[in-house]
Amino acid sequence: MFKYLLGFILLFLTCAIYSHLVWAEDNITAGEIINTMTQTMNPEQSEAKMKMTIMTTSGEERSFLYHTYSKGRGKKTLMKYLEPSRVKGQTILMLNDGDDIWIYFPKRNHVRKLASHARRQKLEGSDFSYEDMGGSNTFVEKYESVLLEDEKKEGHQCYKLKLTRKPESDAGYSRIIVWVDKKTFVPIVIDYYHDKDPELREKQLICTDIELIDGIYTPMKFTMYNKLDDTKTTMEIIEINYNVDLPDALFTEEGMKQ
Amino acid sequence: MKERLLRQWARFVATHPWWVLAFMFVLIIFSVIFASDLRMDMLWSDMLPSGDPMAQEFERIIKEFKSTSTILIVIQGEEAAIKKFADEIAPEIEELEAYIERVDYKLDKEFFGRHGFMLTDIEDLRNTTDMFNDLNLVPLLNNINNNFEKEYVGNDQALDTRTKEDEAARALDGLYYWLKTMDTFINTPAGANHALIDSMVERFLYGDPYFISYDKKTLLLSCKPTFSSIDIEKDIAATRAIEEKIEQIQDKYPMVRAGITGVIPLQKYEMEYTEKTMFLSSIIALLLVIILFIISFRMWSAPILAGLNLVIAIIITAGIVELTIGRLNMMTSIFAVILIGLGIDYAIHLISVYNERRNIDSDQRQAMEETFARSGSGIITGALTTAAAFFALAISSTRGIKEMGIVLGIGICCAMVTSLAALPAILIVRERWIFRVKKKTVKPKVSEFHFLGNIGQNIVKHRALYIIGGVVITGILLYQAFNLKFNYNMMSLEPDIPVIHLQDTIIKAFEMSPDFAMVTASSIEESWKLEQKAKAMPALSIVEGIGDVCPPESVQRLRQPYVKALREKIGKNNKIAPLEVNSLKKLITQLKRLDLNIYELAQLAYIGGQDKIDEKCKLIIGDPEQEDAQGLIMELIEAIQDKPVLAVRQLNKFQKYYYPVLKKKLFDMANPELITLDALPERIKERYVNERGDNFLVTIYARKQVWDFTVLDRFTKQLELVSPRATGTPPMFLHLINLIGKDGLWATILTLIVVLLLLWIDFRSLRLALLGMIPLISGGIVMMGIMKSFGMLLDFINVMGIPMIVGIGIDDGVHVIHRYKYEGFDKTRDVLRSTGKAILLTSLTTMVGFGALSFGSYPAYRSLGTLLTVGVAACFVMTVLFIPGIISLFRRKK
Repeated sequence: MFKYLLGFILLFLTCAIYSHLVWAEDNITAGEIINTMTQTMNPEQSEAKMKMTIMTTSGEERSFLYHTYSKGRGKKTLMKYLEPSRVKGQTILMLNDGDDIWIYFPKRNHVRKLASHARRQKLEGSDFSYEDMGGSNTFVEKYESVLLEDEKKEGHQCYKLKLTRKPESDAGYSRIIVWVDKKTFVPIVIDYYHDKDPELREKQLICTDIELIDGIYTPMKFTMYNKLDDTKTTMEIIEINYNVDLPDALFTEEGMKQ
Repeated sequence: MKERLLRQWARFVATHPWWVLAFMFVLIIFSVIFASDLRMDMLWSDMLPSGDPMAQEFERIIKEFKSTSTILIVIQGEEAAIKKFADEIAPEIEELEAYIERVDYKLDKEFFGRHGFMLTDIEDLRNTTDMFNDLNLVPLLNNINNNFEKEYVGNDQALDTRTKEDEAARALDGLYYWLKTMDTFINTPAGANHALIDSMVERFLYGDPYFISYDKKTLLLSCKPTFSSIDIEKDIAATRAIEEKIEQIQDKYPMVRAGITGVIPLQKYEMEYTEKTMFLSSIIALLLVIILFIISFRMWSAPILAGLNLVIAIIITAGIVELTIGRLNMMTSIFAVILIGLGIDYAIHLISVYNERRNIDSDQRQAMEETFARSGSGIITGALTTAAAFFALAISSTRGIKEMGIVLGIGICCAMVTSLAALPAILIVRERWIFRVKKKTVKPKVSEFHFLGNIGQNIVKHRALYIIGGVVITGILLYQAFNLKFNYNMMSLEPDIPVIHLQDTIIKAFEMSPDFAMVTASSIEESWKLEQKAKAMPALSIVEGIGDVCPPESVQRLRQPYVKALREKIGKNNKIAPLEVNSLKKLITQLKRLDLNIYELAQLAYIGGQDKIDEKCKLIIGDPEQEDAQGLIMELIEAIQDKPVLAVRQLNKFQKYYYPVLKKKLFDMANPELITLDALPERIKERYVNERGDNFLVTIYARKQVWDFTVLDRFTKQLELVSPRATGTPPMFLHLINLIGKDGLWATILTLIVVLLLLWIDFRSLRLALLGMIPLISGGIVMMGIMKSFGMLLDFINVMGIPMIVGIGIDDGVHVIHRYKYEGFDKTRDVLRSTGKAILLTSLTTMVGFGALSFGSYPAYRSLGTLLTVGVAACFVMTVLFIPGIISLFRRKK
């Protein structure tokens, strides 16, 4: 009798825990997932060494090595090219969520302010745009998100979300489908659909090699496939450090020249 | 009953062969008369369902607009040489008035020179207004710098799209030419003249007038024919005439390569290649079939008799097709070839059994009766099931498939009738003639295929083993068949010829596929809207429409004030301010500023991967990767600093030369008059407007190779967003594929049902009917499994062979079961030795006929030939493997 009672209690407890987990999972909203994902992908401060490989318009691959510094969840970003020699020391400063951009050309010792910059434009030659990574809270502010059926993607158990552009929004894509890893809240795959043709998948981002660095889950490799131009861009993090205290002076004209 | 009728007919043919032949002769005469009126409709649109809006729109456009097809001449080499080549060949081609209406390869400078700014969008007009405040050298350079900083360096959106990148590359090209001319005036004064200035100003204002790639290594001439591309004779003649002209001029330019491409030359080369492949394949097939006939029948005349029988069948079919459908389309035009492959089987069955019987029976009449009793039912059922399979295609909505089904159904029935009427009569007459010549009866020699009988016996003995083995193999290959992939790249089915390679050259050099789509509008405003919509679509490349030369009045009125203001400003430029030595400093400052601007632009382009811009910048500032690189601007500055007096003199001369030319051209371009349709030169107008002047054509090119299915699909989807009325060969082709895909499924299901019903009626046993279907179904699975195992793919051509396999594959089983029914179900050895021989021969002749296609170098036919060869072989093997085994299994159970 005691055995049966114990078995019953254990079964009850298991069901309760399981239903709690299920309930907890079901209870999470699309907005919360997107918020958490955006925060994960845009940490407060970071310093990294990265490698970016782009495909040029004549179909050749070109790689760049650079240092990047970011502060205020991506509000201020500084990119300093290390390689190849042609662009060594060339620095890009992006402020106000990428609305203001300056470029420093060390060989001519000249800083040029780029008058305007749309978030949807290509990020310095890559297939990425500022908006693609949900910078400046774009995914939350400019899209309506709906949680779809969970799916396994690239070996990860994921939340699947459909983001539809809000009617009044100036966002660059008509809709976005995101698969967010349930454990790390890192986007595993993002499909971007064309501004004018909601059926046309314009780009696809795949994030891989997720590592826990300074307590933050970080995909070490991003590959963006441009389905229209048949090009791809990869960004690989070689080193990254989140425990940094970046001075504001770094994100200035003088900081660019350092 | 059936046997009695067949025996009666055999007796009649054997006793009255001349009556039968006389009747056939009359039938042939009538058929020839009717067939002479048979029309050939060879357009893609003829394959779509009748009343299909896309096909109707296409046919209307072809009728109303002359410019729906082009012949493209691709010239490759160094810039100066290819331009000279183009200038020399263009008038030569225009002399071919019988074929060519006009040649387009340059900007219409006269028209653009009069209306250029009214054709420029407002954003560019705003920038331009400030640029031409003062046309003197130093202020002009200052304004160019201002413009640069505002337009390109200062605004990275300016280079974001490929179109904008192209525009920037064109602007840099004009600037390079300007600086180069300045350099010529300073460093090589002998070359400085008015012609150089004229060319410089034009290039600065209009860009390169030639239709040339950004790297200046490929130039395109578009020749508008006087005829439609469906006129194959003219396709051939025009292509040859143009190629001759190219050859004549080519000799003078050894470093230039020129070739021809487009739908018209492609049709010519495809036809030539098809003829070559077909000729080679036919010779190989013919030789192999003759060898097979001789080995099997030991009778030289057998292939001639079978061939004669088929010719009669083809002529009668053509006559009936004229009376029923009235035309042949792209698919039905090859009905004769298919009929040869399928129809010869009936002749083989008949000759095979007749020869056997002639050695057994005492006279011709009896031999013919016995032949009909043994093979007549098989021929009729086999033919009717094959014909039914084809007639089932008549449910298709696409005219191409529907007509193919009807034509081949008729053809099979005709081949059956001639095999049961004309062929036996010919066999009797032949034998009588030999008797008259040799004065004795010559009985045909018979090759016995005992091995087939032995195989049959072995299968019966180890039936379980064979059946299980067959099922296991089919099962494994079924798994493979499910993984068989489809080849969506239609260009991979084309032969390896320069016309195809040049299409790739064009795509690479100009980012546009030479094949295009079209849409019409009923007003300029509507056309403009369609053009703007199309230009915003990412998969669409160049969009040509009336808006390029005559935008809507509302758009022109918005531009008018800017153009007026510009003209006023240009008009105020009255005074040439000569340069002095002490003003050189300002000039050098502007040149250095320009050097910095272009350097920064080059660096942005480099990290942006925009190679076109980077390359253009390098021409002006040198290679930034080289530490000591000396660009054109720095050389110019050095020359000015080294010889300031000479530089001032020469630059004043430069200014004196260009100033009036630039001013005049700018003034003319800034003509604020509204451009009206009536004012358009006929040469330009006819590209976009129909003769009545009430319909406007918009031509849209794909950015990538449109014959790659993924590109075609994307291109067509975006065209639909531009307008649901869009048409053209690429979207029509996709439309056709979709319809065939839909129809094909239903037609296949219906075919299988009809075939099963026919077999049921014929055998009066559902069990035997199902047994007859086994070789077909397992043969089809094995065929696809083998294809997958050997790395082959299904494609748009070989997939058409599948309905043929249904027709061919069912025959083997039908003939074998019929013979079993006649001889008895325990007579496996006899059945396989006789009917087995016949089905082996029919399979071998079909395999040889279609397999010969695999020897050609035309990938499309190669793939079709391979599928059919594998399919026919598989159906034969499955017939021999399964039918005797299953029959003996049933018998044992009973």
